[in-house]
Amino acid sequence: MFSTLLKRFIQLIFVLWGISTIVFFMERFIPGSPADSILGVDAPDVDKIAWLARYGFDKPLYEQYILFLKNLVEGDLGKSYATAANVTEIILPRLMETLRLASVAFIFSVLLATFFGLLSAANNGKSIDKLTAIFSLLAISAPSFIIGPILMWLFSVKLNVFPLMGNLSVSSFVLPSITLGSSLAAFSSRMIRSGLVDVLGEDYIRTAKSKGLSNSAVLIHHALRNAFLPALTVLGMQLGVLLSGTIITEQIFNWPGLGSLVLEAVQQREYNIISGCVMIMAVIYVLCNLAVDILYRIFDPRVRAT
Amino acid sequence: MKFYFAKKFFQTFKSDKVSVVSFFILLFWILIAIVPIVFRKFSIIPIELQNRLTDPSLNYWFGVDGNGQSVGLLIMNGASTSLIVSLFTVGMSLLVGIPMGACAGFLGGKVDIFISRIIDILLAFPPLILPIAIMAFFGGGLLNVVIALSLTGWVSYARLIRGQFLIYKEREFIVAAHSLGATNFRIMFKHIFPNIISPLAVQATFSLAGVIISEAGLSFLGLGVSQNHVSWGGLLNSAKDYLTTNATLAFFPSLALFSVVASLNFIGESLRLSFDPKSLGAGRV
Amino acid sequence: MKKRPLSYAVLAVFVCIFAFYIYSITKNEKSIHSNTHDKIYLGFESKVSTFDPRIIGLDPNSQYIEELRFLPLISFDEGGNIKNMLAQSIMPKSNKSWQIKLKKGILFASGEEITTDDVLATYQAIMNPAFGFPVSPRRGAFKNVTKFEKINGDEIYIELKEPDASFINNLVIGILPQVAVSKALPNDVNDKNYESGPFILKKWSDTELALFKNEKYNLTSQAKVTEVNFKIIPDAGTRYAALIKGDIDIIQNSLDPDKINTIEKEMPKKYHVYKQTKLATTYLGINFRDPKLKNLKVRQALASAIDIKSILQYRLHSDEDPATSMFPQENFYFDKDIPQVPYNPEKARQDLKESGIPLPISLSLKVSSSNKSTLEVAKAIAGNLAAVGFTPKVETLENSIFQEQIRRGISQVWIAPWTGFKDPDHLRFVFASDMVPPNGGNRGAYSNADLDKLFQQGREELVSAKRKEIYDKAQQIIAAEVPYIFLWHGKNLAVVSSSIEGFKLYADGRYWSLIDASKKLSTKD
Repeated sequence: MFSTLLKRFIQLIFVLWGISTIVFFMERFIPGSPADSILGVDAPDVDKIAWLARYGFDKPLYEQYILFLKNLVEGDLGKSYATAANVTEIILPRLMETLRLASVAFIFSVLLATFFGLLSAANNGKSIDKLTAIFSLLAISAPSFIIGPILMWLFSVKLNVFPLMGNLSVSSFVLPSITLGSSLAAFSSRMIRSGLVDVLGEDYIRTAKSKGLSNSAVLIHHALRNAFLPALTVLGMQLGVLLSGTIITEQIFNWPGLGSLVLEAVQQREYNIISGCVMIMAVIYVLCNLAVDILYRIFDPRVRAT
Repeated sequence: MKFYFAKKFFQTFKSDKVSVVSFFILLFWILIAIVPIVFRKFSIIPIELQNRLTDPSLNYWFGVDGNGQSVGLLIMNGASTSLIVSLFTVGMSLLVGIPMGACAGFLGGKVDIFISRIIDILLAFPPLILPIAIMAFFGGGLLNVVIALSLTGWVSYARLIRGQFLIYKEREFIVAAHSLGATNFRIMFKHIFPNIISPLAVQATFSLAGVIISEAGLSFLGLGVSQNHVSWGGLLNSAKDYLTTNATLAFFPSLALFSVVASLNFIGESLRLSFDPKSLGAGRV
Repeated sequence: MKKRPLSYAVLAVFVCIFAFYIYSITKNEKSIHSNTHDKIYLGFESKVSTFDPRIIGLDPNSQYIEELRFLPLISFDEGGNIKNMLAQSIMPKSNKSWQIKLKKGILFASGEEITTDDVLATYQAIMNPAFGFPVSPRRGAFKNVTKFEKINGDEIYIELKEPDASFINNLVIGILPQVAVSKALPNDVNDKNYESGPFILKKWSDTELALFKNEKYNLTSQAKVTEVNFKIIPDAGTRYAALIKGDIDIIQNSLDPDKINTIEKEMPKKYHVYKQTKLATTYLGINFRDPKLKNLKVRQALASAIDIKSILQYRLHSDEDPATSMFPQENFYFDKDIPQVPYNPEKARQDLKESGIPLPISLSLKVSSSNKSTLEVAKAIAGNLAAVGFTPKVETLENSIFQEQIRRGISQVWIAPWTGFKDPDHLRFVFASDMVPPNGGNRGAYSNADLDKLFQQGREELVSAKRKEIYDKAQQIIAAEVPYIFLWHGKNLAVVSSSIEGFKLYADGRYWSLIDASKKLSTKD
């Protein structure tokens, strides 16, 4: 167990190094100079050179790279060009906003998925099952930039029941989290369903049934608990996917999270913020996967044995 | 063996009306997408400013957008963009992913470790994040979109193929071929490869849908193909500005995108069921 | 029994996420604002990049907020003319030196009086930033300064290396207290009573800025409302919807022409639409480094091929005539004798044929992605050009890349605006042959010896009537040679809810009139 963990940890470090290296080199090969966008094209060249020197752009590439890695190890993602604020400080509040949205969307989709998963497993092979299958594939096929505007038009513009934008009240969570969570809900309802169907075929379920327990009691008490394991894996990985999904959702609903920060930074050519956001998202994604993996190892005896 | 699969495939297909409908929808869109590529006349969309923002009518079945361009023609051209981007991206991904996965799975050892680490790193980025970063750093354009999406797209194929090769490497008929003196290359592509075409086809179908969504998503964020190409995502982006005043503008591009992606997903699902009846997942992974 | 830990783990994970969920939905729980009479809501299209006058750069929203919080030496009135703020008087001592006297008794929110020391400290922070402090983007404007010092106890003396009549325009920087300049970290100027303007920033986030009335403000009469709240809504459609729903009272310069047109037509009672021409001219620039474009016939073909009148009428909902030169009709230097180039695709085709260049001529049309409506116009223009024998390609570039490329001459034609110019000498900056970047703004490398001579005369001439004659001649040469195709003159546009009284449009878009604005609520609300 310990050696597996150690191995995973070494892998993690390697992956983090890879992520940061890719981001670093991408950033350095961009056409155009950041000095122009901050100081203006018509600024004197002396000031531009001074500015570039200040942010270390004048040093040879390998020196910049070493410095970048060194700062990264110390948890320093650099500074914003326009305001000189620490990127970490800029990212943190935005990350919290994204996590708020993502967690609400996550809860929403888990509840929905469990419900539909149970519904279709209980009616395995019947028309309700087939209908939910079709419906969930349809839901997966509708990306957030279709669902979002439709919801917005219907519920904010026409019916005026939910706020148009922002993150100020409970009701403002409704539309963004449906937008963000719908395809995850559809996807995981299928996972839960197939997990349930598998489990329902096993001996102990038959025993439970033969003991005279009602169908729904068997489903909820025995089967669901065991079917959750495969679903947990998928859901854990999807938490990371939700994070990247927030970029589009935040853009639609004007949510001040990490995703809209990335897009703002793209427009302002704040390289440090872009790479900071990309790295943070990747790290969260990797950690989610790792956590799922470890949980899976700890609690599933079959995996533990191998 | 092959015949068996074909028969099985058509059986499933016949019993599955949804897939038949999907197939015809897809065929329809492919035909639509080819029109502007073949007939240049349709790829030039006249700008008639005096007709801006008119609702669907007999002259303009799908309305006119904020630039005075016919939404019908725009959707048609958007279809070709989607077709080109998705085919090229999936093609490029296969072109890179198959040899990479095959080498990693078959040769093993250091090659495997090296390729697997690259895969690990690329998989560490949540979907769409790396393409967004690439587009943000290097700017829009058809080629850039294909590159950005392929750079992350090949990984899933490589992983799939690697796994399959690991399994088949140990099979008897391969070991036998080895002992008969067949070269690695021959074994890889003559003996093993035909066996893994079916999971590959399933994966490719789902990723066509995925690429179409990704391309539209990038364009929706303003980071996709440039102004000289029409993209459904771009249409949705500009339609969003008129959501309060001309909501119909968003309707038809949404419908187009949705119908194509849903059809691809249904066909992929149907393919998956025919090749591997036990798997009961849903949609693209 | 064996399965127990799993259920606990799953339960634990869910409890954690659920706890976070509860925290999430309760955290920012605020009542949605009730639209009361002492609060005015405005819509901003982008967030303010920084609040610190020492590092504020090109971002206009930062400058607008700066002026409401920190008083500058001078500012501009509605017409764009200089007016004194903290400065009591500005006495020119020579053509390159000034003596500035401060008003007495103007207070910071902390209760302390603004002194020359504060002014000097603020300007020094920009001209010579402390080591490790970010370089101010506005530093370049002061590179000519040789002396900036205190004389006679309470006056400021400024001296430049070379004469520069427009230098005074740069003295718009918000003054911070001396203690802030020496102590505050970059951007750390909020919530410290450093303000001297009519409003104090109390709340700031990525979605809103809440500015409250400064009770200590004593330069003019105090603000009439207790709060002005800037809501930051990047999406144009959402911004419009927020205005219609009544979440926002004022939107200035960030609503597209279609929406303004709808408001004017359908809701004339609910909103006032303010319009005012400003000194900003959007043009299509032509690069003379390209041999094809050096051909006058090709340039004339471009000019007659573009149906700018339709674009103005239908795309921008403007009933005005297209621009004929750098200056709008209202300007003193406008030359009414320059005719408009009529839209004539036939003539354009003819011109192209006469140019002897094989058709179609491929053309890349570059625009910055920062302005959406310019981008749409570029597409329409490309459509016009395609109709007469060009094969145009619109290239949208991120603003700084765009600027860099046209500056370096990596372009064929491009669309951009000139803004903020005040003197006809701007023509020299744009068209004189020695003004090719990096020296000036002649990005198309256009050169004409006659024009250069006229510009020199105009610079030396002091009598405005004679100056006008000179510049009329210059503008006629420009019209004949077509180094630019002038498209339209910019406008300030504000949509203001009719419950707001006292709002005024300023030539450069500043929000100073908020100090006099008030809100009367209709009985319905």
